[in-house]
Amino acid sequence: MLAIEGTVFALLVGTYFYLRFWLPAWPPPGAEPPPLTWPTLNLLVLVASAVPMRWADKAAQRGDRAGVQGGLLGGIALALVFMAGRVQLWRALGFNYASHAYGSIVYTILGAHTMHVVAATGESAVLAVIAFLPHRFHDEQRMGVVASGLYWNFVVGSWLLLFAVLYLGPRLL
Amino acid sequence: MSTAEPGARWPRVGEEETERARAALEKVWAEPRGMVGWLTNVNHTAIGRRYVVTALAFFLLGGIEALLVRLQLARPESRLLDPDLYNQMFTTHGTTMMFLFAVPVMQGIAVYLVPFMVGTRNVAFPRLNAFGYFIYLFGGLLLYAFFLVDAGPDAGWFAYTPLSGPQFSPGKRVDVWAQMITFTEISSLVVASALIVTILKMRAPGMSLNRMPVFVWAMLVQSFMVLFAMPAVMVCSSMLILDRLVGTHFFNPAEGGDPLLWQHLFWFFGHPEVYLIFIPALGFVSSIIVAFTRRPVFGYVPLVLSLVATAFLGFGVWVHHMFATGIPPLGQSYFTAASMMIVIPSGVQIFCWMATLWSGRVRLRTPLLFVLGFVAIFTIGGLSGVMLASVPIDLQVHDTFFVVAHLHYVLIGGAVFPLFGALYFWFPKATGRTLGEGLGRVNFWLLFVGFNLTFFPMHQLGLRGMPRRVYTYPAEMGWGRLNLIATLGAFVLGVGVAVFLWNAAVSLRAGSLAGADPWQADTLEWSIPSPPPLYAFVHLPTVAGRSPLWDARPDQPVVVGLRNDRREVLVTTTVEALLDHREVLPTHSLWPFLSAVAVGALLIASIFSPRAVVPLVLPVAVTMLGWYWPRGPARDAAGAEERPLAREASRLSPETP
Repeated sequence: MLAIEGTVFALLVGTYFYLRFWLPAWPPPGAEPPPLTWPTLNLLVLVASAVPMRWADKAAQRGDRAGVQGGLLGGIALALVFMAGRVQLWRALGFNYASHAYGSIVYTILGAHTMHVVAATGESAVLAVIAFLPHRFHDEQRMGVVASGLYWNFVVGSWLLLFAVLYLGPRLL
Repeated sequence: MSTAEPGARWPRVGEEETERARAALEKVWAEPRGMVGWLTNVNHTAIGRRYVVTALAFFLLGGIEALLVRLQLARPESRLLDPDLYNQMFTTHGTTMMFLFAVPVMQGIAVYLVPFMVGTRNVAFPRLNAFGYFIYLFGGLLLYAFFLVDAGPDAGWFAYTPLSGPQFSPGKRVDVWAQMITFTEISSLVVASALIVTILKMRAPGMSLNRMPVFVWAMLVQSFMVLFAMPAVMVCSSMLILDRLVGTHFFNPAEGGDPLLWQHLFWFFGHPEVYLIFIPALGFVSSIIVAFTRRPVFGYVPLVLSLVATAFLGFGVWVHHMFATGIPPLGQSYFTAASMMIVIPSGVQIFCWMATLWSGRVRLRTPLLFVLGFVAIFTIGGLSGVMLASVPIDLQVHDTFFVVAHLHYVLIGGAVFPLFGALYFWFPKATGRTLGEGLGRVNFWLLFVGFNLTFFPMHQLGLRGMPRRVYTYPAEMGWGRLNLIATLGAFVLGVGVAVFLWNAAVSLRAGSLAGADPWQADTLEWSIPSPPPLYAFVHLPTVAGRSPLWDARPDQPVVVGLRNDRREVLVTTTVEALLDHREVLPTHSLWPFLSAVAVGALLIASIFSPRAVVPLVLPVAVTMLGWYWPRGPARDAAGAEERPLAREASRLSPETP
């Protein structure tokens, strides 16, 4: 699963640089490179969310149900903050997917990553609900928390890379 | 690992205990009945059979399309098909054969065989596996539903932009093609993940990686290739559909996009795709050669390493499909060299098989005939491949029938001949009856002669400049005679396939009974009755060498201690296949089908309105949730009385005779 999605992200980044390679100006005239301050803060929120998710993961391995509940709720809260920030920043981009190829690839990368955040948050929410229900939280669900912890790390880690490509790339390279 | 020690110290499993185990297993692994039962079944035998039967049905459809194309080309200036229908015909033919037949049939056979070959009772993730089948089926039905109402895709099976873009292909045709790709890729990825986990974690104790049957190796390599190749085509077909439906500009040069991006992404998948089809076929060939020469394969290690090498090289040659697009000379040289390098592992394989045949006691039965046919045809295809790898020749014959000849030699020779060999070889295992040998030989010779008659003249047509994908040609070009020969050959080929169907139909009812091991072969699937019981093995086997059945000691131990009152299987370590723990596999369920319906509805609706995607995410989420929702404590509570894992599971003892 992670290999597949890692490949998807790698190909999207490859496409980004391929498209960039053939163009004299990147981003194209009329589009500013995205701002840095708020996206960086938002990135920190996402990175921070990995901490409670990690607690939940550890707690699940110990069999500590209260720890799982707390960790998941904390992680979900931070993920929601991140998503709110994402929506705001996205609106402020100043171009859209139909503006030019640069817009298309930036939107696609953002969209693909947002889908991952939504799916992973949804998964954590389901696990959190199960963890609060009586008689539903068994070994299989504990394994589910461990797996979703791993997946969350992937979501966070991939954003570190994609952030560098989308936000730092146009300035530094 | 205790299995390798002399078995005298193991208590024998009593007959009574075996019978008790058998009765319990039959109950636990029983298939659900009725129509709903069909939708809920997650046994790998059922899913594997469905994949093979469905893929063969698509093979027949693709074959009929090919015959229509050949009829159209049989004489110059024919008006049998109009240009538009001709475009749909060859596009649907190529798409069907590549996406709906070749890969699924290989994966289907693997879903059926791999659990037997590694000595377990089902694939890992059985429900996911069932989900994958339904997704595949829906994708195929989508394509044909549109094809039948004259709205089939018409931009070729690789749908190059800008031809396939919004400007030159209005309407829904290419959208259907692109979403069909998504369906089949999801299903391939699902099967690949299930197979990888089955192969790496569920092998019989003693079947360390260096003892795995070559076929299992081939499927492992193929599955990893799927994981890295399929995402590329999903990415590019999604970009295409975004370009077409919501107005992105990935392939639009006017707005900074690049049509060649499509070719890079597509062939990054497309060339490995050839190996996705070909590598399982190499596995068939090895199994068949070993069984019919009665000796272990010559050069097991180089053979496996060359499979792996082919897989790696297969990812480094995609640009050789694009020599005509203005690639820098350095790039051309690199991709020429990489393409030619593939000859080395392929050569190693061919020589290993020849050495096996040379030093074995050959029994020339139908499956082996198909393998020999494969060697002959594939070698010719390989040679024309070496020619095409060189840039000047490639530029000369680019987009001509020379390429059509080459790709059919490689794909039919490299995959369809081994596939027919495999069908003859494993048909007795799956059905309990052997396919008729006499009809089998007729079948082989019709296919072999028909094939060469069809495709050999195409080399010459290509050298004389006949372009592919053009619906007709003027009489004065002088291509008529060779085309007529090719068309006649195609019909011989068609008769050959009909003979196979006839043979299968007759043998299903009246074929000679096969027994457990009609070929005296060496791998574990031949140790169980034909057709295999749903639980496969009463006691999971252990393995003492590369040929599990030939190397087994008279007192080869079996695994006891697994519970028979639920679908329990053994999990072993990745490299050495040492006992690790037990795992309970899920039973039948309707959720995979419901999820597949929800995902299918989402993908099909997206063709018509991008907005429809948002509300349709809901049923997908609901069905996934229903699938995942814990079923109360039943499975766990039963586990409470379980005895310690390792000690229990490692109590091995020789099976009763």
